[in-house]
Amino acid sequence: MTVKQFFKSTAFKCIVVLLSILLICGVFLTVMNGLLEVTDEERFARAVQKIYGKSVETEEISLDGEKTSFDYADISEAYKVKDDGNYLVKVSGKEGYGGAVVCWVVVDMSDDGKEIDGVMKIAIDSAPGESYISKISQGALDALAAKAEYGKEAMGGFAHGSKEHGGDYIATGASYSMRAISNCMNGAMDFVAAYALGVAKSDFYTDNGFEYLEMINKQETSYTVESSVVTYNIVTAGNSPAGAFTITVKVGADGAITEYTISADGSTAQTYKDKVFTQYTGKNAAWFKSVIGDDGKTNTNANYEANGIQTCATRSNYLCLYAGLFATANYQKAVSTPYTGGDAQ
Amino acid sequence: MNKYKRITLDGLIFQNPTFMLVLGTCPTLGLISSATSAAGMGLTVVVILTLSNVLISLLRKVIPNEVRIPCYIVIIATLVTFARMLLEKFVPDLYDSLGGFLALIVVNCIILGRAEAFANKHNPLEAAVDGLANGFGFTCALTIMGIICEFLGSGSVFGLHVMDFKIGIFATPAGSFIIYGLSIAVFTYIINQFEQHRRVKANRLARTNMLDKEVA
Repeated sequence: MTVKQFFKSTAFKCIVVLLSILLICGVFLTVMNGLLEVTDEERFARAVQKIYGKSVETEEISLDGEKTSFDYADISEAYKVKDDGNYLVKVSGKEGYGGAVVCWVVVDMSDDGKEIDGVMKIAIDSAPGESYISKISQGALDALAAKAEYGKEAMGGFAHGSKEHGGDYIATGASYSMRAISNCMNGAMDFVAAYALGVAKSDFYTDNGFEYLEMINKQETSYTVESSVVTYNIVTAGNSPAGAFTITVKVGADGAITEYTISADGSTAQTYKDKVFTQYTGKNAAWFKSVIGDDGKTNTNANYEANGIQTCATRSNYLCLYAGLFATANYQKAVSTPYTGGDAQ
Repeated sequence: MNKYKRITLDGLIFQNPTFMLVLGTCPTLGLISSATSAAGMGLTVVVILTLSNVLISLLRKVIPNEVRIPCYIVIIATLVTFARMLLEKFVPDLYDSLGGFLALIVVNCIILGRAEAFANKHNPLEAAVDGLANGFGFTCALTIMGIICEFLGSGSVFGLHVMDFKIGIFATPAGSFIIYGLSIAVFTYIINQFEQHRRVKANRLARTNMLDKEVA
């Protein structure tokens, strides 16, 4: 084909037409994006309107030097509301279904401003990728906010003793998005605690380099060491719809479990009670990793089936497996580090 | 029958994209648990479908056959993105309630289907009528099912509380699926009855004409 033939060919016409349409559409959208862009000020005004129903006087908080990144949430903006002394925080909650959920959270302060009373209101700012976000009504958000209590660790998004909260998650039909929203609340309260009250959350396990903490309640989990045997009292996170488990795990000198007892069963009542797999005696860290992966994040029925622990209570089983992994993988660390954590002592 | 009347009736009833052609099932199942979301999605589709039909009809003699599908997709994606910008700017509540399904309009079978089956073969006016008819057919179907699902699943209609009794499953896609199936069955039954009635009437008329001819 000569150059002249190419320019007269259908292929050339196709390229020209397609590129022309792409160019026109691209230019059109660029112009429109400039004209219709929603500015940060507009978003903020909308959030304030949604929360307070009127405009309020706020003072922006500089985030320089503040702790804005948490395991479960990131803070992007914060304001002190002059009208009521509360804090309005824009926070991105992790672990939604299709990504993060960005919310505005009003952290409710006591009258003297020296304590966090909880969360006054939550408004969703944006949730790209969360198809079911519309299923979460303002009523469900208000109910969630009413239950927020500062001092209860986030644990992957669920406040401790989250079985009640689990009911809310199920009711909305958007459990993963609700988890991300719960993370937003916890992140906002932790930020305000650090910023306004100067409370730095002590975290014994992170400070001492323990691994596999994501589904573990770091404040309520403790351990003792006696004759090379580590006895853990583990409180897990919730894993919607399953709530937190409390499990006593003993790990012997060979790094394998010698006793595994569930004292508080977080599985959904009636449906999954007694279906949780508990036969972990003799299992070590290598075994747990072979089931839920080296990063402890593999949570699939196929893996459970291959290892003979499929019981239908997938989410509860994951928490129990994770507790086993935490106990066995951190055995050496626990032996060499006396427990000096706070609340659980 | 008038050409435009036929196009309109086809889009709204006889070739209804939701009930008769079972197109656009993904947003249907995802959004009909709320009547407001369903109606909002339907109206957004009306605008995008009408505009895409008109644009594709206008460009039908310019776009080579070999690249027509990529061209249609680019045009539809542009319109959807534009609609997203407009909704986010001016109707943020609806934008939030439609969530990820708004972007999914790009791959809605109804829009690409009408572009391929109708708009690229007809003039812009006919294409616009077809877009409006199919869009409103989709909107009506979604809104009717949205009202039923919201009423049963949440005890409300368009967000207004109606009763305390509710059946949770109808607030989920599983319940939407049941309502969708039942709606298709009812709609098809009604259309079949109508068609049967029309055939009987036409046969009777033909027989009468024949008898008249014999007598004459």
